[in-house]
Amino acid sequence: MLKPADLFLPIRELGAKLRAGDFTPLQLTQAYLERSQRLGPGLNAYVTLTPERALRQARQATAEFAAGHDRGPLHGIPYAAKDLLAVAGYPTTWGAKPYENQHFDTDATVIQRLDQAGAILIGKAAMIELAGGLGYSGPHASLTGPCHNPWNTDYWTCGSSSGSGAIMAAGLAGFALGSDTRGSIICPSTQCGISGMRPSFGRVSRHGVMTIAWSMDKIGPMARSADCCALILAAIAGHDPLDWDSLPQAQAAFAPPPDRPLRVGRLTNVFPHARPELHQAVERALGVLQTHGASVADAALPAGPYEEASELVILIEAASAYSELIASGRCALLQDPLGQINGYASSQFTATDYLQLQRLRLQLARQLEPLFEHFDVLAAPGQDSTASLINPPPRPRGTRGGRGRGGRGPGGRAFAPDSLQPDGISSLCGLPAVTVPAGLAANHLPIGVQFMARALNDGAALGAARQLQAHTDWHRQHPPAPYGPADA
Amino acid sequence: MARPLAAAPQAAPAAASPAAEVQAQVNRILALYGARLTPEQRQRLSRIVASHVAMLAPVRAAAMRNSDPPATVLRLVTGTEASGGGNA
Repeated sequence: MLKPADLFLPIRELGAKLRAGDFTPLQLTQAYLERSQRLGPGLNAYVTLTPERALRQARQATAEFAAGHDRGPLHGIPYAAKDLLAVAGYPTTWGAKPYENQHFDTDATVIQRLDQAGAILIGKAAMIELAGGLGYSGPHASLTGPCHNPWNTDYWTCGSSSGSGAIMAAGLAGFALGSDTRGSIICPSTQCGISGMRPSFGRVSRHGVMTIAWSMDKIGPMARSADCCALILAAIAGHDPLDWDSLPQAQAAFAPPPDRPLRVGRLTNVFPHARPELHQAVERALGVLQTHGASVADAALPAGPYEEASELVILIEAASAYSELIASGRCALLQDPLGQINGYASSQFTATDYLQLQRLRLQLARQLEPLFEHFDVLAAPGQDSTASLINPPPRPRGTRGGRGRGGRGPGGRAFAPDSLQPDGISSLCGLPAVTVPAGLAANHLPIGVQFMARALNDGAALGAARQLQAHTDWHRQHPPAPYGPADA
Repeated sequence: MARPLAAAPQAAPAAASPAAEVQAQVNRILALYGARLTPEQRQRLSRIVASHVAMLAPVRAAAMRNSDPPATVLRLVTGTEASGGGNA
């Protein structure tokens, strides 16, 4: 018998109930589809539901379970994919008006891998148009409208994997896929109170995925726990000859390592303008880890123009990726006034500047590397604020807006040239990061803690988060009615 | 006389004032795309270009040795990889 609260269970617990015969993959899929149809529109969570495909896959999984054929931990688990992943037979809109009728005739590699693992695709998640590739000013920059945060629908989910965040927080699917060029998994996961992961660059194939910036785009899981993220990463990671930047199989493949005591670096020079309660949440989380065997010491990121460099690499590569949209003038069809014109400016950077950025990038990665001789993971707040209002009140004349002292950069991403943010550095250097819930702020919105690790040491970031969740229940907190399990 | 392999890193000197660079870029954008833009969009573009130039300043100021390579490499195409390489 499927209970409403079951829709909020982590993957292993859902799988245990499927294998115990408490309910079938078909019943679970039908329940998530019904909930997605009922609650999804109010959140602007989906672009497209895929019920025909989902029910076909669910019937197959149900028959396979009945026949004793078990494909592994994702078998029979329904999920949503950000609408920049190609799925044959359905539109892949990239969240943007110019592509609202776009179709591909094959599935993205990660969709194929999840098919093989027996997971069930129930829909394409809403997103910021072009994942912010040509810049955006805020939540309204989406083909499907602003994505509402299930914790308080006056607030945004953050972007650009906005729908994936809402879907997970509201219990509309068992897990979701997002993409992260610079913070697009970490921010919505943090601000929606779920667990999300940006894998090491090159570990997960991007074949069949919209490009923003070739050298920075990553696909990753958004789920109920770090353990769920590890299970999903194990299924989607691996070499793909169709992705030019895919790592060799020996590096790309992922298997969750056993938990062990970790050396944790508490980053002392990030998010200096964040509210104290966000840093206090990190302290609480580190206290839990320390109690259970981790060593914790202060760590500081080296100085360098990481923020500028990460933003500029994205702007320049996006100007190339969307050169047709810019040259044709079809960028005027985008929702966001910034996105309509930003590509013209981004097209003016010189090749010399781009190469200087790429030279600097290696320098910065080499400066950062010695920190990981001393620490397995670096810990910081998931973001520098809780979720932001979808429609903030007008600012008094003469004041400047934005988040903290930095506000948003010309591309719309959180940007603070006078302070370091973990997202810019880890994205620029291709490092893995995991964010997990760390309680609620005074405004009853989620707070997160993130763990960043050395390139290809995804297991350490996941391990820290998993150990934290073994001793806390912040990841089992859910939004109030009607989006929480009580009214599911 | 040959220079040592590890010559001291040097930053490139600034070639133009930021304001002049902003104006030059804006002029070029307007020459190419000005007919598409409203007066409000032209004003906003100037602010965007100014922010780009400001962000570039610390990047350009980073000292480099002649041999410092970029994080871009040519990967040789062989065998099965010849047919791949595209994303969406």
